[in-house]
Order: sequence, then C-alpha cells, then structure tokens
Amino acid sequence: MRQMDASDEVTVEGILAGDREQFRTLVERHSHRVFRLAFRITGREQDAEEVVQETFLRAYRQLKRFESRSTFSTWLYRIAVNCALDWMRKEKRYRNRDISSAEEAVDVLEALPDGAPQADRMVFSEDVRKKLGLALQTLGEKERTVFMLRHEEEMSLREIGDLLQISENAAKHCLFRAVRKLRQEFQPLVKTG
Amino acid sequence: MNLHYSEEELILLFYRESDAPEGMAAHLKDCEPCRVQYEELAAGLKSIPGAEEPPRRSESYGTQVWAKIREQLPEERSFDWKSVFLPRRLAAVGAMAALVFFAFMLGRVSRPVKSPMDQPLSQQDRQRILLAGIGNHLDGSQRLLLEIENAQTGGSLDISNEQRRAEDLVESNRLYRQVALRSGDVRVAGVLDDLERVLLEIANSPSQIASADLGDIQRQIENQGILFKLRVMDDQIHQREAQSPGSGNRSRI
Repeated sequence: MRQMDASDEVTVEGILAGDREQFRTLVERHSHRVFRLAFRITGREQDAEEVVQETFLRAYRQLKRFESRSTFSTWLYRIAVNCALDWMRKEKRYRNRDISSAEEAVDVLEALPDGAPQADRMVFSEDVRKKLGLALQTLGEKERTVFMLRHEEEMSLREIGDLLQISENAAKHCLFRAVRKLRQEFQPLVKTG
Repeated sequence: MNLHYSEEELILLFYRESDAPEGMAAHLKDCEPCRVQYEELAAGLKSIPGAEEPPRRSESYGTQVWAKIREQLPEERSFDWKSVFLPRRLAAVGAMAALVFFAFMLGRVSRPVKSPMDQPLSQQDRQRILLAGIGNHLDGSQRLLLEIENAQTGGSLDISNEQRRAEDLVESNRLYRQVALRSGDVRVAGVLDDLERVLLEIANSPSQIASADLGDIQRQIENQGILFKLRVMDDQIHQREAQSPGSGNRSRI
C-alpha cells in the first residue's frame, strides 16, 4: 500500500494540473481496497458498490483539499469510511430490523442443548455465523468500525485512528468496548469451543 | 509474581498491539491465572464469526468503477470555486429563489384572488419548480456538509469559500423553512432549522479555522445526524418530484 503512495501523489498533481483522465489510475489502483473497506462496514455487496462510487466521486471533488499531510491512500480510505458510515446512517432503519434477527439468532443458539450432536451444530453454524455477524450491528458505530478494521482487516490501531480521525488511544478504547460487548454476545459459542 | 495483566492488556496482546509482547509472553508462561484468562479471551475472539469475507472482485473491477463514475465527474471548472460566487450567478440564484417563493405563495396564499398574471403557472408547475428548488438546495447543503465533514484536521484550514456558500445556503434555507412552516410541515421545518444552525456555525467561524473548531462543527454535523436527515428528505423530494406531473394532489413540501 505504502509503495504506491509516491506515484499516487504524482498522479494527483497531474489531475490537479488538468488531466482528468489520470484519475482513472487512482480508481483502478484503489478500487479493490475501497470495496473491501466499504463491505466491512456496510456488510452488503450492493451497498459496498455504491459506497465505492460515492467515495471516488467525493475524492475527486475534494482533490484540491488533499495536502499530503497523510498519504493519498489514507486520505482516500478515510473518505471511504465516512461514505460507508453515511450510508449506514441512511440505512439505519433497515439495520434495526437486522439487529432483531441477530438477537433471535443468539436465542436459537442458546436453545441448542449442550449435548447436541456436532453435525447439528455444523448445520446451524453457517446460519448462526451469518446471523451472529449481525450482532456487530449492536455495537456503536465507531466500536463496530474499529473492531471490523482491526479484527477482519488486520489494520493497526494507528492506521484505524488515522482513518477515523481519532487518536490511537481512542481507537484502542473503542476496540476494548467492542471486544467486551461481543464476548458477552458470543458467550454461548465460546462455551461450545 | 502477584501482578496480573488486565483484560485490556491481554486484548492488545491478542491483536499484536502490545508494547511489550515478549515480556507478556514470558509472564503468561509462569502465571496460570493470566494464561487461563488469555486463553479464554483468545478462544472467544477466535470464535467470533465476524462478517462474511468480502466477495472477490475481478481484476478489471477498477476499470468497471471508472466506467461508472467517469461521466459523473464534475467538469474542470467545478474546481474553480470562485466562479460559483460570481455576482451574476449569485444574482441568478437569488432571483430564482424569489421566483420560486413567489410562485409558491401565489398558489398557496392568494389562490382565491384572481391572479394578475395573464398566464399563471399551474399548481403542478408551481409544485415542480418548488420541489426542484428545494432539491437543489438540499443537494448543495449536503455537498457542503460532506466536504466539511471530510475535511482534514490538523493545523488550520481555509474555509472562506465554504463560508460564502454557507451564507448563500442560509438565505435560501430561511426561505424554504418559512414556506414549510406556512404549509404546516413542521417536520421539514425542523430539519431545515437544524441545517440552518450548522450552516450558520460554518458561516460564522473564522475563515482560517483551527482544527479543534473544525472538529466541533464536524461533531455537530455527526451528532445531529443532519446528513442522514437531509438525505431522507432529499429522497422524498425526488420521489414527489417524480410523482408530481400526474398526481397534482400534493400540496405539502
């Protein structure tokens, strides 16, 4: 990621000098990563696709604001995270419905007898895994984002702080809160392990 | 050793964020309570199913994205913010707002009185103009707030151009808020009221805004959920705009 940054900045200079087509290079270079980030936050492929487009449009409009205080990729991914969070806020009412499903999923899991055969658990596992993933939605916005970026994307807390424009320490505390809440949510699973 | 690691320290160790991982590892070897706590924590975290792995994109994904957005990219001149504030353009915006307001009020307040105009606009036309005006206003407001929200903090930032846009938007916002109040749409008026406060905050900030002040505005935008409200309202406006030609029975904003 970092190796690309020097040429990113050269490309940005070219775009600002009037060569709009050079923006294509940045889009092609960063689309995959932006998509991953967007998917991690929205959790839905179609939403992530929308966020990717909005991210690049927003980045283009604000390109003059990019002042190399951070790397271009960090700046772009920050926009992506903000776009994804905006999207999530917009979709909040639908998410609330999903949260109910997550709670139901935990109930289902708790209802399984301790001695249930492994095969039964395997049958349930995919569904439960998917539904428990929705339990992430019960976390606060920043907690969920920090957790997803650290746990799933393996980004460092420092990078996450940069993206969310919060201190590393604040990111750390978001992670602590998220882990505590999720451990409580997933306690039934842990017992089976 | 009687000292034990806290849950937070163990979480950092699990995520390889600890400042002293070797020392902690050595401690865990000798300290059973800490080791047990860490093993439980690690098992718990590993068992978290998490979200699905992001679906794979093809090698040409970037090219596909480019094809989708290319036509939507603003023209070069849109970067020239100064042109937005040319006096003739401001005058046109003002005139349009006044026209929209006049046209709307004509239909709403003066309906029983015979119009002095030879060919008055139909109710549908008036509504369409009004909806388009509000739609543009909401789009412009969202763009401004998004730019402010995504502005980089650290040091100071020149927001003089954004302030001029905010001042402009405040004027039109007042207009639309009054119209909303007159038509009894308290909810819309409430959203516009929230928006106005944020716009005033931007307009009245120092043009070289400090990072902390910018952060305050960003938090204000975030805490009020104003962008979300604007988007919802914008969607509704666009829906009404789409339905407007055939229906002719929507009198509220």
